Amino acid sequence: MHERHALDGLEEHRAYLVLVARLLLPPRLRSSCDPEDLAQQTLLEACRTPPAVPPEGLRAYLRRALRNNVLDALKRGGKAAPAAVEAERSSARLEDWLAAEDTSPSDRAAREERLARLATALARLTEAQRMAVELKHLRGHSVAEIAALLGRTEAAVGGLLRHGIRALRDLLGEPE
Amino acid sequence: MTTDPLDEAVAVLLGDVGAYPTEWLIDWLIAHPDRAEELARFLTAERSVAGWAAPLRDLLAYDEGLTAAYPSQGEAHGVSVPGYTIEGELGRGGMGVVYAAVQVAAGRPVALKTIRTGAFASPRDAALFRLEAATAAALDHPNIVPVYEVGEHGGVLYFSMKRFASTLAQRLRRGPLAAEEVARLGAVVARAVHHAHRLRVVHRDLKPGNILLDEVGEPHVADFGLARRLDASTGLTVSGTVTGTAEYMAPEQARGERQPTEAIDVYGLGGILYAGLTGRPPFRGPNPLDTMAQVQFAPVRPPREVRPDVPADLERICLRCLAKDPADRYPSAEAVAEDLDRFLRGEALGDRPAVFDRLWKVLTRPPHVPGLATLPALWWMTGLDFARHAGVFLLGWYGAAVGWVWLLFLAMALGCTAILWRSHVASPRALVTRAEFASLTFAAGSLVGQVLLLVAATLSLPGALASPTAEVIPRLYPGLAVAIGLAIFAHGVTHWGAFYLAGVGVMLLALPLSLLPAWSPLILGTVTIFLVVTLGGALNRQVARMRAAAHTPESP
Repeated sequence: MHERHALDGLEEHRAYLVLVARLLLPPRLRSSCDPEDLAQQTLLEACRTPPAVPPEGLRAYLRRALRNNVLDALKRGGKAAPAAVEAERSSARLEDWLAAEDTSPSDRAAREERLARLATALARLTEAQRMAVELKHLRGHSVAEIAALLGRTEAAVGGLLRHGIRALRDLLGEPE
Repeated sequence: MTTDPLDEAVAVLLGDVGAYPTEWLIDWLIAHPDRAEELARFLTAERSVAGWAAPLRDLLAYDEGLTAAYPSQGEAHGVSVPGYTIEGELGRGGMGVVYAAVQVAAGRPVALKTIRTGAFASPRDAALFRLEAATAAALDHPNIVPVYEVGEHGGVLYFSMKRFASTLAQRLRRGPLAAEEVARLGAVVARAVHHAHRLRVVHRDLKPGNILLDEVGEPHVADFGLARRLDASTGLTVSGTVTGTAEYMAPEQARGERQPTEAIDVYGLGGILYAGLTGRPPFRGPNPLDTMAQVQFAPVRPPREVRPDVPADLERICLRCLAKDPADRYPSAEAVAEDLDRFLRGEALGDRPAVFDRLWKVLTRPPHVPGLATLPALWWMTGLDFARHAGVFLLGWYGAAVGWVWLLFLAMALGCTAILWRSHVASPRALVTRAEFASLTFAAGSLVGQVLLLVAATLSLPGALASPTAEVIPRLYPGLAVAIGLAIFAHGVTHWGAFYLAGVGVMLLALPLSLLPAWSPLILGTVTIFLVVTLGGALNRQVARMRAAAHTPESP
């Protein structure tokens, strides 16, 4: 019960962690390693052993914990080595980007914030819309490929993108 | 359940990274004009969301070596072509995926172009692809990318061509080129394009991305993907499934004209010169609809404004290629090459077209306005104008005082203002185009001039306002003919070359009018109303014909 209660404080980071997990996991492995489960696991661990919050903030701590969980899951599942390598590289790039040398701590925080806002907005879309937008704009797949991955027609993917993008635009506003 | 055309448009427009299939878009816009605004809004929203996602996307871009592990890329297409080893993906074009491959037998690296949807392509796509390959293979020129082999395997159509180190587009990302380098490269490309033109092949999609550079920087024209034989004997109409890039598209292509002409490629050469000199395309809008509008209507920003050290002659060559009106461009790609050579040798550029030749072109070129939107208002104003002249004639006949002529002019001015107010300010479709605005400005300016002429003519009479009308007419009407003729003449610039002739004709009326003073109001009034009715009608008919020709698919 106290676990449930402690989770409340971390709840606001759930969407963010789910997005990061999805970004780290290659799409074809998502069915065996659920990003939602990995985010949940990371949040639970965080409230069982309350972390000594690092100077760059709770999000950075959670993100690193999540990364370890993703890699563990991939290894435990006996997945092909390339998947783990990919996840590790994605994670390293994410960290590099967030902590790039030319950025000040406030820039870093702004980037984190941006990522979190995008995650929250994405979480508000329907599942199908979110997947279409993510595959298109985060993974750079073509409409034809998305149609094949989601098992829909290209026009249907067009509809998902149209409604998804409109909703996102309303949620996000102008890019900075 | 029916598919929303907007969903279809989104699927097509977001289908390819970086390139919008503009000809398809034009057809879509013609079919669904009422959804255009919604689509433009969507495209802007899409840019905004892409702006949010871009840093993450770059961040997660997978290493080249790892992409092969993805079922959704490369392997998913099941591309395996006997005789070739596929090494990776080079890019995606409007019609297919280009792979980096090695032709095993010859042991040479090639670019292997395949139809993206493989076995699922429609017969129409397949026919277009074969035609593209055949067209490109028929061209044998040191600066046209050679095609090695054309084939089909397991439902996948492919052709292999020479692989090059980079494209001009990639080179330009590092900044513009030196002026001489641009001229040299432009001349080589222009000669290669001219070679294709002589074989009646038009490229139609010239842009930096289609200019491949070898190790020493020599340019080679690639992707005659949109090329179509000029003679229609192939009987294959392909409007709708081809891709062009709006930024380098010629104005007539953006208008939806399907006729492949050499002038389109001359414009494309101008686009390449412009990009070489400035590092950017001639036009770039926030979305393809906007870019297409700019291509058609906005003046191009002169290269010297972007980069002041561009030589004036080179700028002139570039801008003449980019003229909105094909008649104002170089007559051939070869002529572009010749002028570029003259520039490189430090000579004066080739002669401009002969004066009479140019004059003829100006007078006979098709109208450049979408019809006279103000025609109903124009009918009313012309009627009022005629009533004024008839009134002056009667006043002269019955010997009334000049004061009455002043009243007539005043009534006419008020009447015109009322008509303009009703048709343009009070109605929702107010002053749609710049051309219509210009037209009304000419008319207003002319009217002011006419009133001033009346004032001057009256003041020169001994009896001023009390003098008989018959005495003011010979002082007034030759001047009126010039004022009205000038206003008509000015429409030659904004509307149609025929107005130049009509304007000169009305101005010439000044001579007979001064010989026949008593009849001059009726003569001028009749000629004016005749010209407005015949020219206005002819212009609208001509525009309707052009529109019909542009909107129906190519006739067999």
